[in-house]
Amino acid sequence: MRMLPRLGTVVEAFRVRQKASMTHASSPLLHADRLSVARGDALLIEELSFALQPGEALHVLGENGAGKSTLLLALAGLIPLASGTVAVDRDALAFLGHDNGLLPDLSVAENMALYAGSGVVADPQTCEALGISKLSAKPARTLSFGQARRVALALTCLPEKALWLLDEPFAGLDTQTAQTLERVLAQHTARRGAVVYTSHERGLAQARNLTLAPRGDEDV
Amino acid sequence: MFSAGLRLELRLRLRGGLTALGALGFLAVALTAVGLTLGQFPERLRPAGPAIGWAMIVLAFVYANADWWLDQIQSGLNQRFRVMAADAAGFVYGRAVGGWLASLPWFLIAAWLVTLFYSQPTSAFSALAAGLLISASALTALSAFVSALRTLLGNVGVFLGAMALPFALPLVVLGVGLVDSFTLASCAFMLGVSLLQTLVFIVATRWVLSLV
Repeated sequence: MRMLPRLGTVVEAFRVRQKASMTHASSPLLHADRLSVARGDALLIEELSFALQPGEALHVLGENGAGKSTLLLALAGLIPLASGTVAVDRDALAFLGHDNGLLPDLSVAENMALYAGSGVVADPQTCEALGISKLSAKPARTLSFGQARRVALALTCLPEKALWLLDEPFAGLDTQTAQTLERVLAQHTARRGAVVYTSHERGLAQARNLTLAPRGDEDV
Repeated sequence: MFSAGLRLELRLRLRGGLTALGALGFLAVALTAVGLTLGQFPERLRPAGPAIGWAMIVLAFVYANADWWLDQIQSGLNQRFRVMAADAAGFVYGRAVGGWLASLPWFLIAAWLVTLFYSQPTSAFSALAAGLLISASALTALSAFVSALRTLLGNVGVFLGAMALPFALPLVVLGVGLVDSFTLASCAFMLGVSLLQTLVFIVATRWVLSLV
């Protein structure tokens, strides 16, 4: 457990209890069991349990600071758990955080080639749907926030990855692109994939909601 | 993944030539300033040249590389590669080696600048250049370690160099000694220290980042 305080930073500790449970079925793609996660001295998520079956989408809701992004980082294995377990096939994970993960000095095509060299090959259909080809020659630093988000989504929404973890995927997208993304997510769940996403803007009609609320409230 | 990281880093370094020029500019200004300060005492300046030059080179190199590891450490690229890529660690090490390779010509120019500014003999250039090339891996790893400290502590600004210099002190001392006594044994000893420091800084960097 790594809960060392950041030097030079005074963190006011507060506790937020997050508890949830979901119906369990056989062979879930993701199973969180009594998951607790802290950032600094603050325990943001406490004893959260849920499972995600193939074909399901989970919409994580909550006010700013409730721990939505922290939950996704923990599920992705990017931050340590204070306690509990996350059972997931690491090879089946795709993750998109707040940062789009593009190198600003490279063009979109070069960024995509870099990812392809590491085994992350964007799906041509998704690229076409998100209009990536028009952006390919542009340096990443010249992209608007929404354009960069589209490229990052194209590099995350890979059909071969069963479980997509998306932090605010609709942020910065225009209405048409947001609708396209909804279709991409729906297609993924239709082919027995699963999606966990946070969003303040919109969500999938078929998604279950997991609301992270401070002070121990819960709503699943 | 190692080669992908290596190629990426070399490509970025080539495109970021202005960064290297900026570092060399800083070095030239610093060397000139020290030279002007001691200019009326050339007898003092000449023997002090290699030591001053080493210190300035370390500062300039760390400043020039200050953002490089932050880009690797803090970025979404790092997060996404850790989750999705086949070999994220290989990618990072590839970038580190690319940074090391890209530093080699930079150090040669830096050694030439020091020799020129402090009117050192040609043999001093050879010794300085050899010392810097031998220390390149340790200084590259040191810049990674300082960037990791900076990630942990926040933006430390001008204290960046102050954090780096003490860690580079063994190499500075050995490098200055190399100018006085440029022998194979001295080079071998310095290489050993450099490799040891490289390993220590890599381990220390990983440890510091685990606290972030």
